[in-house]
Amino acid sequence: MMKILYSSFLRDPENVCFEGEDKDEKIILVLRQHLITNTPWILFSVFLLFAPIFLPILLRLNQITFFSSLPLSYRFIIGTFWYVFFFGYLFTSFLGWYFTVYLVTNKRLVDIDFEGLIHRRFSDALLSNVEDLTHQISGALQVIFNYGTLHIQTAGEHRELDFEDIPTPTKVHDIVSDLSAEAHRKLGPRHDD
Amino acid sequence: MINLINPSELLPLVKVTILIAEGLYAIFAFIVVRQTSLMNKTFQTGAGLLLNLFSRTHFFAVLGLFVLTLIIL
Repeated sequence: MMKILYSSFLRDPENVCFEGEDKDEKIILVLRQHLITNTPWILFSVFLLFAPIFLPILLRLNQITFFSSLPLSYRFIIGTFWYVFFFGYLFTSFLGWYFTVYLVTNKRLVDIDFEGLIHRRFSDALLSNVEDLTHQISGALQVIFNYGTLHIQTAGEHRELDFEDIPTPTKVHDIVSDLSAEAHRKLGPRHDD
Repeated sequence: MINLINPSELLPLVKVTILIAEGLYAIFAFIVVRQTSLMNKTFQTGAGLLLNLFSRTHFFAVLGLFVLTLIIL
């Protein structure tokens, strides 16, 4: 269970399913954006964690004594609220990363985007509809940590799916390519009609 | 400028400000509970229960803090 909490590349995961999954459908890959993409909010969280310690000192150094003049009960409530807010920020940032997943099943590719708290998008494309795959690794960070984007061109309604900032995009490209070729082979004679 | 104001005169305003902030944040925390539950239905994993627990704990912590603010301030 713990691996699903922090992993951005899971092969043949256990105890994982998604809404709309067919009975004969099997999830082969669970992908998320590379862990390094979480650095901005993690750093900001560290700032929020230590702010109540150094901010009062900073204010006093600048001769601002308003907050330190408040009664202890007020400072306690403000401090507690700060840490509740800190937890909320940490948790919602994590949820944004955790629930933005890209799934590769034996039948289709699924892109679940969870942005902010009130925006959710679910896109999928059959493997037999995959027409073109392109992966891209650009920039020093992506090269160092080996992550990038896989662009998937399909024949379906959603003409393009993007698996953004996924780890080892070359490997994922290869896996999807093989699965797609297999799906095309199965459709073979009917597809030509 | 902020030091010309006597804090004790502003305490009722500070209390109301804190209560409003906590009330708005409680609404946000409730939305987090709903969205976590919804997303767990969309993408089900073994960690779903834990995430629901965290979201609910967070919401009840905000509610508890709101009540505490009413009592001690």
